[in-house]
Amino acid sequence: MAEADGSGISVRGVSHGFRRGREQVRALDHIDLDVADGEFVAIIGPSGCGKSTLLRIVAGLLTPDEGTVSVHGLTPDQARRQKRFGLVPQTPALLPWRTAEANISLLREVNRRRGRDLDPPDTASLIDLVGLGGFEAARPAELSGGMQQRVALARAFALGAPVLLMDEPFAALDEITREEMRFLLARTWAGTSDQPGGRRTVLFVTHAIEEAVALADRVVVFAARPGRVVADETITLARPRMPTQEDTEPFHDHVRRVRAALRAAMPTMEGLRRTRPAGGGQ
Amino acid sequence: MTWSRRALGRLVPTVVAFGLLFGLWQAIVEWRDIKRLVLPPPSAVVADLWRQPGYWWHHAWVTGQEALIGFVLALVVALLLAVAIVHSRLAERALLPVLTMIQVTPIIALAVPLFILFRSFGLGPKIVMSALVTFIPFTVNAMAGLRSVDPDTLEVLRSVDASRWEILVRLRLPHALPYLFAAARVCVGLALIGALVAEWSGSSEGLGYVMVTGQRQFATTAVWAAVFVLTTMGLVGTAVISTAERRLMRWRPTNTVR
Repeated sequence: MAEADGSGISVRGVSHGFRRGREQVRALDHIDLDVADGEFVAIIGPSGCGKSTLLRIVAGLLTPDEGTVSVHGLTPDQARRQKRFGLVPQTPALLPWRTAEANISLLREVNRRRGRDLDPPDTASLIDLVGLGGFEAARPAELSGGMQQRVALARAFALGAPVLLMDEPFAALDEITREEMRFLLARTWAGTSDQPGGRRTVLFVTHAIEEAVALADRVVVFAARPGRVVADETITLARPRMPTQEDTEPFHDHVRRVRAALRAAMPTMEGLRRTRPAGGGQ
Repeated sequence: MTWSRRALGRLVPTVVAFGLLFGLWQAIVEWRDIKRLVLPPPSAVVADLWRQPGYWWHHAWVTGQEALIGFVLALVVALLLAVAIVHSRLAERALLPVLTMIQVTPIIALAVPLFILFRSFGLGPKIVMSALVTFIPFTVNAMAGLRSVDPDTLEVLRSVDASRWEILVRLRLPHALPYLFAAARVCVGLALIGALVAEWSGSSEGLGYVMVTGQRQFATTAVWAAVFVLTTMGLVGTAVISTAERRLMRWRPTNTVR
C-alpha cells in the first residue's frame, strides 16, 4: 500500500541485534510494516520487544542489520538529513536555558540550510493548541512535567515535518496527566491537519493499551524476544477522538482485542491463563 | 545606603568570625610577647600595607597579571583539548595518557627547570607555571561538562541532522558551563600558587619576590603583608567568577544540581 508509489513509510524485513555481554540478542526479527501518509499508527508491546529500536531505525538514527526502510521513497538517513522527522523522546529533552517558545522553535533553527520546503504550522496557534498560552516565556525548570512534555510535543509539530516519531512520550507522566496529554495530542494532530503541510504521519510507540486505542488509526502489537509483529488492529472509532469515547463498548472491544494479542504473545502468561480470552481476533 | 535586615543578618556573623580570628591572633602575639621577627600582629601587617600602597599595588599587579594570563591560557587550551577528546577517539587515545602524565607530576617541581629553560626573571616562566597548574582541573571539568549532555536531547538534535558544530555550540558548551565555573573557582587559587612558586625560583618583582627578599632581610611583617595581598586577590578573583556565574546561568533555579 505504501511502498509502490513512494508515499508513506515502508518497513521491509528489518532485523536488528544487540550484543549483551557475550550473547547476541535479537531485538527485531523480520519486521514488515506499512504506514500510509497521514496515518496515526501506534506500536505497542512489552518492554524489550524492540519497538523503540524500530523507531530509531525509521528515524535514521540506527542502521538495521538486515532489511530496508523507505520514507517517502527516501532512505531513513536521507529523510533525516532533509528534516523529515519530528522526534518526541521519552523525556521532554528541553534546553533548560531556553524559554518554552525558544525550545519550540529549536528544531527549525538547527540545520537551517535544510527543511526550507517544510510547512511549519503557525507557532501562535500551535502554542494555543497544546495549551501553553501564557507560558511562552517560562523556562523548563518553572514548568511541571506535563507542561514540559507539551513543549516537547509542540517542538516536534513546529518543525513542520511530515512524519512525527514518538517514543513513549507520556510514559514518565502520572496517570491523570497522561489521559489529559493523550487528548491534547489528538487535538493538536487534528488541529494542525488543516494547516499547510496537512495531516502528519505519526508513529507512536507506547506500552499503554488505552492510550494506543484512543489515539491511533491502527495498533500494531509487538511480541518480545525476538521483537516481531503479532497483531495489527484497525481502530474504527470516529474522529475527532473524545475522552467520552473511552467509555463506549467499541472502545473496550478494541482494548480487549489488543490485550488478548499481547497476552497470547507472552509465554510467561501461559500458565496464568485459564481460557483463551474472548475475541483474540487475528 | 540602607541595609536590609537580611543582608545585615548575613553580614554580621561573618564580620564577628573574622574579628574573633584576627583579635585572637593579635591577643596571642601581645600576651606571649612574640617577637615581630617571628610573628607580627595583624595590626602591624595592615599598617605596613597602609604605609606604602603604591609598592604593594605594583607587586600585586605583577603577580596578578601572571596568574590571570596563565589562567586564561589554560582555560583556552583546556577547552580546545576537551573538544578534540570528546569528538575524536584518536585524540582521546593520544592525549589522555599525556594528560595523566601532567596530572601525576607535582607541577611545583617544574619551577626551577622552567626558570632555567627561560633564563629569565620575566613573565614567561610564571605564566607557564600558572597555566600548567590550572590546566588539568580545567581540562577534566571541560571533558565531563561536554559529555554531560542528556542523551534524549542529543538524539532530538541528531534527528534533524544537526552538525557536530551545532551540537557543540547549542548543547555541549552550555552544558559544560557549570563544570567550567566549578573548575574556575579552584583555579583562582591554583593560578596564584603557580605564579608565586615561579617567582620564588627567580624574579625581580611580584609578591613572591617580595616574600623572598623579605625573608632574607628579616622583614617578617612584609612577608605576611604579601600573604594578605594574595588572599585579597584570591577573594576578588572568586567574587568575579561568582558574579559571572550568576549572570550567565540565570536560567538555573538554584546553583545546585537538580
